[in-house]
Formats: sequence, structure tokens, C-alpha cells
Amino acid sequence: MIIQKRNYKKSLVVEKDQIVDLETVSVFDKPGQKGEVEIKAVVMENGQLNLRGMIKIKKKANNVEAFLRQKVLLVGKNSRATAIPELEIESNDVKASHAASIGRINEEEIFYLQSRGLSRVEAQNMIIKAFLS
Amino acid sequence: MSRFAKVKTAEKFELSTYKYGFSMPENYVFKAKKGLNEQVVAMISKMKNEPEWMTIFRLKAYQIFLGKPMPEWGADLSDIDFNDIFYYLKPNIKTEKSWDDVPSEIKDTYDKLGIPEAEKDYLGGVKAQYESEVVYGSLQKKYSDMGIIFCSMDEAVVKYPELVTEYFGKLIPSGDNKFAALNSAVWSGGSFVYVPKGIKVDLPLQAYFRINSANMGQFERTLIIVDEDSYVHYVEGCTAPIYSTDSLHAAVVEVFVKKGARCRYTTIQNWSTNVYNLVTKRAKVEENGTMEWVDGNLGSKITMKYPAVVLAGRKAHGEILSVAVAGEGQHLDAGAKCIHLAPDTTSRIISKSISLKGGRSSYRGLVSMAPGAKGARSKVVCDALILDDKSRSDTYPTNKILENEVTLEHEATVSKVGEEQLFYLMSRGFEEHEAEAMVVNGFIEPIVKELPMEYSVELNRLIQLQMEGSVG
Repeated sequence: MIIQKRNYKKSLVVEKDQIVDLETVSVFDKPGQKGEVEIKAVVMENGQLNLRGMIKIKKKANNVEAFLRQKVLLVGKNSRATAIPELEIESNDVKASHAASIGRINEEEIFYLQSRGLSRVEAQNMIIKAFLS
Repeated sequence: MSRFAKVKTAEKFELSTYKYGFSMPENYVFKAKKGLNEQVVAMISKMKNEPEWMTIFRLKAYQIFLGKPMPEWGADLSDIDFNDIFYYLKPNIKTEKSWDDVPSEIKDTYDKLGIPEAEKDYLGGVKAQYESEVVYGSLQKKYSDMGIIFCSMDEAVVKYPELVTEYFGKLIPSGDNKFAALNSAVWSGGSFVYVPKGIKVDLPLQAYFRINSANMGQFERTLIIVDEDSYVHYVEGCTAPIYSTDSLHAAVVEVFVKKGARCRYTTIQNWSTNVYNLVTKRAKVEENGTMEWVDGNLGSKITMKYPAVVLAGRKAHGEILSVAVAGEGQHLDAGAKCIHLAPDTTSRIISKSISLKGGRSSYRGLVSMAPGAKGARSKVVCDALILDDKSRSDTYPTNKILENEVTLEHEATVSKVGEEQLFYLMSRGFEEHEAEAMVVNGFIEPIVKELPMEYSVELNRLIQLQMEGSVG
């Protein structure tokens, strides 16, 4: 799936054994354009997520602000992810940045919630919910 | 156009910013014909009196080179004419141990580059390569007494066959890519470093690569083995004269870092802007070892170079610090690769690039974490500055995570020099270009401070020169 948008927000869950490809392309060709793309995803057991995100800022597109964020939480066993955030900038009067992170649930957070009486699964679900919201 | 005030460039600054652009008259013992074929490959091997296995290795690599297509990704390489290049130029009979024995025109070159002077003060050993061969080599006696080996690669093939056959081409086989194959076929010169167990080499070892004639191809081959719990810092510098035709530099560098060892490899690439710089560099790091690539890319017409670290042992650590300055007519496609194969491995990539006067700088990187690399962590930071509207900056990172118990962070920003910063500095009495140079130097400071002293001064000076009277 290729999404051509400058502004886009998406939270998704890659279910067990699923493979999801998601590509975003944000083109900025006029001065003053602003955009923000944010993808948050949780990958369950055996799931695979391939993310690609491009920000293109064309010549003479001054005063542009562009941002792309890709956040992935690998939850299940054997879950996998690829994140490719890309920038092609041909104008100098711009602010463009991207950030990608791939990680797991922090064991300390789970420990804390368990100490409050939640089961491990409940704690995990709560963290996932918070991550995606 | 200046953003604030007229830049004072009364006497038009026509100062060439490249001070190593001089060339010396050609005086070669042997100059191969232009172009490449099996005879040239066999002849290079014969001239070097190599053992048979190396001749076979070269010929096989040549076939692989023919079979591989030109890479179509990255920078534009379509203008390289493999038939218009000299593959082997032999300047002197043997490697000299004293500068006095080096022929005067070659010695003059290195004097101008300041090598013998630096050797006295800062370095533990020096290799100087001129065209295809190493013309000068030295190593402080206390180091050779410790069993450290620092010689040209050619010499190592003859003198240390066990080490060479064990490691040569094992990390970067001929089939790795087209230019690794080309290097494997026609390699000449480069350094061989072996540091025995438990030895820390406190002064850096330095190699200096110089291309002198036009249409030259330089294909040095470097192999570094740092045995358990040892440390070495290897520094290389490169320059060439300015010609209207293009030269090619395709090096292969293999580094083996054993258990608990540490290697730092610093490159200051300042080729003239008619050199294609296509280099394959890779290090394999074992348990608790550390590999650091410090990479400065200032010169060349086109650079494609992605120093790689293969983290093969538990708790191995890789670090790549790179800075690229792309000016007029330059495309620097540089980056880094970290491949996590073992648990608890960590890596850090910091890349800073500056594009100006229509130059293009690209970061292209890979972080991959294999199944089983539990607890691996990686952090990538790429910052780019674009100084004018003719220039361009790209970021192409790939993060491939096949293990779920890991952490990866990637960040990149592209921006220009902030107007507030400039305004503040100008209100303090700096000219605009001075202020801008100051901001740029601050931007790359985290990497510059990792360089040996004489290089960090040089880098700051070069950036200042590049920017003089040109930006705003």
C-alpha cells in the first residue's frame, strides 16, 4: 500500500502471522507547506511489518516543515520489522526530520504494573493500548 | 545573496581551496598500458613475484569483475571508462626506510604534505604510498620489538604467508561487489598491520596515499588484525593533483578485531575533485571487541563508501562517526553499516553532512539485527546542513530487525544555518561568512574532536576555505 500524503496519522496492529507493507510518500513542492506523518505499529507473534517513508522537498519549496515518525513495538515471538525513513531535500530553507524506533516493551514497565496486581498479559495489553493511542 | 549584509569580497577570492593540487614530473620504473585485461592482471602479479595462489586469486577476481554489472543505485558512475585508466604504476624499486633514500621528487611531495614532520612528533609508524607502490615505510623500534607488524601488503604476502592466507579476502571476498572484485584483481600496495595479544599501540600508525599522474587507478589493499585485548589506531590520508580527466581509487580494507580488542580507523579523504572514490571497508568484531570508524570525506568527485561493522561476538561494539562536506560538482554518497549477529551487541552511528555550492551529500546506511541478537541496541543520528538552494541532501537508512528483543533508534534532521545564530554572531562583530563558518564548525565538532589534533585543525581550515566568500 502506498499512501501519498503530507499529513497522515496511523496506528496499526500486525496480527499473528500477518505481513504488512506500508509506504508513505510526502512531496513538498510549494513554499510554506507543512506536513507530519506518524505511523505507530505493534507487531504480534510471527508478524512482519515493512515500513518505508519518504519526504521529498523540491527546489524552491522554501519555508517547508516536514516530519516523519515511525514507531514500532515488537511484542510477539519472532516478530520482525523493517523501517526505512528517507529524505530527499533540494531546498535549503527548510526544516525536515525523521525518526524511527523499533523496540520491545520495557520489562520495568511490566514489572511495575504487575506489582500493582495486573497479570502479565493485562500489563502488556495496557502498555500496547497506551502506545497506540 | 547575503541574508543580512553585503559580504565583503572586495578582492574576488579566487584562491584555490585545494592546496594539494600540485603534481610532480612522472618518473616511473614501470607504467602499464592503459586498460585492463587478463595479461595486465597476470603481469602485475608477475612483477611482484607473487606466490601462485595470489595469481589465481587475481585472475578469478578479474572474471568476477567482468561478470558483475555496474551498480545502479547510489551515485552516477556511468562516466567511468575502465579502458582509460592506468592500472599499475611503479614509481620506485623498493620501499625505503629513510626519507633520504626516497627519490627527491617523491620526497618533495610528502614534504609539502607535511608527512615527515608529523612523523617526528605524533606517529608510531608511517607508510607512504605513491601511485601503486609503497615508497616509504617506518615503524618505531619499540613497536617492532613488541612483535607488531606494519608493512606494505605486498611485503606481507611474501613475508607472512600464514597470516595472509588465513585472513586475506575472507571478510570482503572478490564477489562482494564490482569494485571489490576490481581491487582483488589489480590490488597493489596498502598496509598490513598485525598487533599481537595484549599490546596497546599508544601512537597512531599512519598511511598516506597519493595519486600523482592523470588517469591513474589506485587500488590499495589493507588488512589489519588486532589480536586479543590489543589496541591500535590506524590513520590514513589521501590527496591527488587536479586534472581535467578522472582518476579512480578503489580500495578494500579488512579489519579483524579479536576478543576484547579495540581498533580505531581514521580516514581523512581529501582527493581532488576529479577522483572517483569507491571503497569497501568492513570490520569483524568478536566478543567484547570494539571497532571505531572515523571517516572524514572532503574531496573526490564521487564517493561511495559505507564502512561496515559485523558484530559477531557477544557484547561487541561498533561505532561509526562520519562527516562529509560536498562542494561544487561533488556527490558524496557515504554512510555506515552495522550488522548485529550476536546478543548484547551495541552500535552507534553519527553522521554529519554539509552541502554547499551545488554539492550533494547522501547518507546511506544499514542497521540489521539478526535472529538471536537478543538485547542488541543501536542508535543512528544523521544531521545535514544545506547552505544554499543549489545544494541537495538525502538520507536513505535501512533498519532491518529480525529479532524482537532489541532496541533501535534512528533520527535525522536537515536544516540550514539558523538566522538567529548568525544574527547573534554578527551583532558581536563577525563577518557573515565568519559567523557561518563558526556555526558549521560547531555542527561537526562532535566528530572533529575525535580526530588526531593535526587533522582537526586541518579540517576546520578546509571548511573555512570552502566557505570563504561563497555563502550567504
